Amino acid sequence: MKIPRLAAGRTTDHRRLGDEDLMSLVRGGDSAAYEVIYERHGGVAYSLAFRMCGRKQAAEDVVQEAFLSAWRRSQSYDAARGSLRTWLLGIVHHRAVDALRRTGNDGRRRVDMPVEEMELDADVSVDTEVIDRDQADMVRGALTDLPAEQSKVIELAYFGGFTHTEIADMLGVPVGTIKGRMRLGLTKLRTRFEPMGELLS
Amino acid sequence: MTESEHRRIFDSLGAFALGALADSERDAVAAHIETCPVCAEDASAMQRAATRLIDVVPMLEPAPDLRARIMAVVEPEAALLRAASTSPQEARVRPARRGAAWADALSLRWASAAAALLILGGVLGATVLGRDGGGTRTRTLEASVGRGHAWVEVTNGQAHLVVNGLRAPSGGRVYEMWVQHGREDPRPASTNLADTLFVVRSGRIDIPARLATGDRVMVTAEPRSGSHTPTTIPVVITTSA
Repeated sequence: MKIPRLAAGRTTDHRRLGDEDLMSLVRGGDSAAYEVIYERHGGVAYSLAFRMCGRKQAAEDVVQEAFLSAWRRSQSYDAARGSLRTWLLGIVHHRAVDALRRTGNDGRRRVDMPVEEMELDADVSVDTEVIDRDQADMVRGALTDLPAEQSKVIELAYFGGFTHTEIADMLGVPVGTIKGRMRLGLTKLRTRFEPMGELLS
Repeated sequence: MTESEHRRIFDSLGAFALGALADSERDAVAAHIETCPVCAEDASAMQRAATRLIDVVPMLEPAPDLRARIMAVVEPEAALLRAASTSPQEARVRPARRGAAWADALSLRWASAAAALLILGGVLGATVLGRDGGGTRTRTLEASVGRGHAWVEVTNGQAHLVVNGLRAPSGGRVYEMWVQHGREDPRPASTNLADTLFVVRSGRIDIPARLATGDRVMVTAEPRSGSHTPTTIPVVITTSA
């Protein structure tokens, strides 16, 4: 384990700050503030990337690209649009989709695997099983309550990185129908999630 | 924007929020929501809902060296940003614009000056090629420069910057070489600024400084008289091994 190169005092001070304040410092070129942001969100970013890519090295590459991209365009983060976590995970997701599309079907072995049955590589340490059990149960419940045809397309798209046309081909359903299922399913999830508020960290 | 176009985009927002559109369609939606607050809010809310799916993903711990790899790139860029932002010559960082800031596809146009680094030439890291026949240590360090290449060779303590296919600096500027030692702010490669300036796009240039291991050599576009602190984002950064 590499010892962080930061002066302990400085990092400790930064750790007391919220994400928005840290991002203000980041915009001024404060790398220590960015390191704290990585400490907070690197784990969930990696977990998403690993769920999508299914391979450790590919997931690390995605997280590295995403965090460098976010660092270089910290000016474009707008707190009014959502939490830093949502913004960062949006970038991670986008990078992972790009990576999956670059590597083709080889990178997509896990797509059809239900989330619950995903097996982990032996050398990946599981920190906690899920971010928050109650949250996970709620989200899983919401997904289960969706018509299967909607949850299926959402999972194929979000975790599998497939385009709507690929999914339409896969399922033998018109493209417009797939788009409609995505929209409808997400709208239902949104209605279900919104009372819970946005998960901030 | 006609009503039918709006409708078509509106129907695609679910796929957009899930990242399920092909690049061309994604760009069209991104352009639309920049000007349509209704679709922007809708897309944003659906993106938030999609992000909640992460809650069912098993949490994993990334390898410890991933942080170090990221910070090894962030730190020199941060030092440069700080140095440049204290320069009175140019206001370099544009104010953030409001909009669908989370949408990766949208953001390049809004990006800070720092993002230009990504376009002009990111850091590729260093490679050590070893010793030459005479026992003289030769380090060859590579960086990307747009489509070109650049590296630093150090032989008997004399460093050369070799550039190949550098773009011409815009706006009547010239290139200036900088050396960054450790975590310090980058300094002109020589106190005599004229020695640090060059205009060749391919060639071998003496670096008028002695480099220590870990030093970074950077190149920025500067006014013809040179600058004491960088006023633009570097097109070259090499890191010695």
